[in-house]
Amino acid sequence: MSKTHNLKRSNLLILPFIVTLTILTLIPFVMLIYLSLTSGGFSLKARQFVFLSNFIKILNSERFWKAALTTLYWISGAIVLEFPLGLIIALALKRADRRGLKGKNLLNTIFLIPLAIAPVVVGVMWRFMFNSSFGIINYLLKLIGVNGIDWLGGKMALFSVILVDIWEFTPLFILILYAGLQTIPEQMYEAASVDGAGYFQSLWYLTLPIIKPVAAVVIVIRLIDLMRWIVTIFIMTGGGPGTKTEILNVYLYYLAFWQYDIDKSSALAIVLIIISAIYAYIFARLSTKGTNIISG
Amino acid sequence: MHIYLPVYLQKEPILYPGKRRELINVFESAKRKCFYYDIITYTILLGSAIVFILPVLWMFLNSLKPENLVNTRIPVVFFKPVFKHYQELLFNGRFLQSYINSIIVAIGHSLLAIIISLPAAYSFSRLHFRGKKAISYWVLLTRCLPPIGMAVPFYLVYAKLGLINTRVGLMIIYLTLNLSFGLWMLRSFIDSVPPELEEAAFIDGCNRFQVLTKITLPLITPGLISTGIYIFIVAWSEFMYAFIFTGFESKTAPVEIQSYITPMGIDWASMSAAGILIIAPTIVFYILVRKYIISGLTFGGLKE
Amino acid sequence: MKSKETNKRRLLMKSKALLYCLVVLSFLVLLTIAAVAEEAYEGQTIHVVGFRIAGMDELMAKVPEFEKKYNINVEFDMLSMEAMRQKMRMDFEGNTKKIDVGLSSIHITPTLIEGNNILPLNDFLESDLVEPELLAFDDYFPAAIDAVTYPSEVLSGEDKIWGLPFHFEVQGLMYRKSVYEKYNLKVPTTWEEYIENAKIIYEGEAPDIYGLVWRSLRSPQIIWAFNQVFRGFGGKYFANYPTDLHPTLDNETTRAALQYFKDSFDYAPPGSRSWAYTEVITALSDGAVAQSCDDLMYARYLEDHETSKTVGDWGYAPIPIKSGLDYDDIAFGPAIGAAEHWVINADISDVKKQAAFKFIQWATSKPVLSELAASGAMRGFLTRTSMYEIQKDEEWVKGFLEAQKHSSKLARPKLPEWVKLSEVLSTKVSQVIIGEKEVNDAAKELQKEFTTILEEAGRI
Repeated sequence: MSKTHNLKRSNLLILPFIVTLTILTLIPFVMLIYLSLTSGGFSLKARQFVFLSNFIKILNSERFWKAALTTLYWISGAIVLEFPLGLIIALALKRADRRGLKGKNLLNTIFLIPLAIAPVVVGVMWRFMFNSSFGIINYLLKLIGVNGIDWLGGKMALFSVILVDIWEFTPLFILILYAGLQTIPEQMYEAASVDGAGYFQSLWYLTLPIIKPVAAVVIVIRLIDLMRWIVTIFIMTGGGPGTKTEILNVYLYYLAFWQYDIDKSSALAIVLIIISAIYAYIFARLSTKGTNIISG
Repeated sequence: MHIYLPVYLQKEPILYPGKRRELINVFESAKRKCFYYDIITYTILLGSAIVFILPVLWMFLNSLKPENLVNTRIPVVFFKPVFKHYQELLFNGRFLQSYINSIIVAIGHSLLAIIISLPAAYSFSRLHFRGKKAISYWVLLTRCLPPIGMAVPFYLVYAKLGLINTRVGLMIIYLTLNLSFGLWMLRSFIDSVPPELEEAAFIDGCNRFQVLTKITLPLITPGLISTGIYIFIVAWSEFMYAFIFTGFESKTAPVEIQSYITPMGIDWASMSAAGILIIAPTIVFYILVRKYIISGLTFGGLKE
Repeated sequence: MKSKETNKRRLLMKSKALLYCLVVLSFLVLLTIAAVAEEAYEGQTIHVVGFRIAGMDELMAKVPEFEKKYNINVEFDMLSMEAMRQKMRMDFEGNTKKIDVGLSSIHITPTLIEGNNILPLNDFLESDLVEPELLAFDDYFPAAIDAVTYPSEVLSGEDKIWGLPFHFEVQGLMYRKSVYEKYNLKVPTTWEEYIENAKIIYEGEAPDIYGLVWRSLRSPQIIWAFNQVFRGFGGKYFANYPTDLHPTLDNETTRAALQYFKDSFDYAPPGSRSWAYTEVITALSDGAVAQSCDDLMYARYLEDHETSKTVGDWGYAPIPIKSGLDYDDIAFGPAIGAAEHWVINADISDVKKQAAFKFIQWATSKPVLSELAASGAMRGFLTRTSMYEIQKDEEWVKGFLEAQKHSSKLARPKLPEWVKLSEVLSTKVSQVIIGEKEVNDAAKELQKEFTTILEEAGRI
């Protein structure tokens, strides 16, 4: 097949995708850039160009850097725990498949449930469970002798919020990684064991390299989504006691919807976009030769 | 328990006296190892399943309680169940309407997203064309847009396009979230199908469309369905865009249940009943499609 | 020959792909058209948004009566408070005319006035749309009307009425009578006595009963709590509202107020630094806390047999002030609550405005509010004198009137920038109570940030 031939057909296949995505996001994105480079209070018409002054204001505020640090803890804490957990459980599921262990259907359904609940409900549910006076968690802990942990009202707030995110999104890793594991045919495992590979060896040399692309994609997606997350955090702590759980996105919410500061919030939104685009790109590049997301 | 024996043990062994004992030893130790691994597997699975399901069970319990038993210092586990929260919700026109809206939006949107992103994923994976890199960067960038920062620009632009307060509008707006997800996920699943298979099919005389449907699609079905499930879940339970872009008629379920967060307290009993009802369609959908997630196909034609 | 076949096949493939694209794109276009065509608001239909607060569910249940009487279609949308406010703002600012009537509160309305988003009602109140038995203007509590009166230019200009009051509540002290009796405590009139009582109760009863509790979830909710202490200590946000708006926050009073507020959490239940309404009301009705200073509308839940274990055990009194001060020294007096009122979108058509006025007149009318009060749905609120008449035998009413005597002034500066200022204030206060920031630093930074915001807004 000639190269020009490929060119035309692939252009057509990709056209609806590009057209749709661009129409939906380009104009608002351009508007956002415009808003961040201008100043004019809440009005959208009477604005003057102030170029980078909004950005400088944002980057100069102590609250921004504090939120950035909190975001760093938040993202790394969540990913570092969600991915291995999801992987282990997916592998366990796959092994249960191969060994014909019972109860697989029920387990699969159960693993989907935290993901299937609306985040609003998850936030409220955990807020009540974490309540130091009426929550069931502290009650159970008291039964085994551990007293009054202040989950949401003290220094542990960020940890509790990360915990909830792990509970909610490890199932995503399980779902996708398990599907990825399904693509490895049984014959390969048999061939490996003919060559004398035990469970862990076939795991390391056979399974993991094959699902590396899929895993990389879902990690990048989670990395980006964690940056944009707000629902459970807002419901559980409103940004923390003080600013303990105020990630950049929460700060953005307060800037945009309580301080009505369009200039600074647009600038912060642009900063957020740039940060997440950069680290997502870096991660995509570094893993699996970056061929999946940033293609070449 | 079905045990996969290594190939050399499946055939009839040539038995000389020592060999038989040797084979039995190997077999026994393999069985033991498998058994220990089974225990570990079960522990992992059951343990994590309990952690995932217990809070939801607690929520379910709470949804059956009369209001005054919901937030008590000593959690109440045994009580006489009350169905009035479910009754109130199911006979409440507003909740039912929002529920139906959610279903329509979720199903419509999932189909739309898959239809648009599957061919794109295929061409990203298999074909070369100009601007591939640029498009990838653009897709990455669109995923990074925070809904909160984009809320006001989106609102103004979409108001002009007439997409506010319609279910269809919401379906289209969710594409900004899920198109990138669909593209990347499906592309990586298609990547994991060896191109040699498609080459073999070409050699046998199929054209590209047949290759797509007969070879690639069946092989990526687990991935396709899983991606579809997550897209469905996102469209079903998304809150931020839903509340910005819907109004009275097109309100979806998450927006409706958020109204139970009142300035005078959270109506937790109703909310947990609503939460349980909200899980249901996803689970039903999953049960319907789950057999497609298990790949029963093997690569018969591939010799390594 | 073969190349001709392959050429034909290629052509076929290309056209198939082209067809596919056309189909998808036209599908999208059709969807968009369907989306636009889905809207069908005909006739007199007004869109009302509210959130679930006392009496709202009951009001919504009565809406069919209104629809039948006036032949106006009402689409009553219920959202959460936060969501509703953001929607109102986006709709008003973006001029998308989707919301006709909204529920606003005293700290949101100045922003709406400044943005020219809502309609002053003076003209309507003198027109022939008024039905005297419904409106009964003199039946409103004067303070309730005061809460909806703002100058037309926000800080200057003629006073106008910008909404009709639906709720009017006052902040007060709530205490458990049995606990007071047990420890021989008297009702505190100063903040020092209050915290002293809290300490005694805490030492005697913790962990079963705690001394006090505040709404302190990190969000502008915390202002409601902190404001009482701040004002009670004689603190002022501005040098001389409304003429001189220079902030006066870096002083001894502010520091003392912050320190007091922070120390008071020693006697509060653990984890309560992140508590909002739900947790506070649960704690109080469960009997886990013996005192609190907040909106007297808590009575709605505290005296409700279905949800409260401590019905009848509550006493109500005005909130304390610092010893040595008098109520007249205090800027902005003991607070009134959010005083939710119905407002009308200023950009909708005249016909819709009239329909909207009819609605809000009906919703806050004497018969409707009296009915709600009689059913107990408005316990804790007294918007009209007639409501007082119906509920006057209830315990909380006495405390309400006592507290209300001193709250002839508003709790909040009627300033559009107040929302911004309250966000900054709430963050700093929350940081102080958790120990993330020192009291001195917080006072200094508050002064600086308030000054910056007011300077940027051109108020000083």
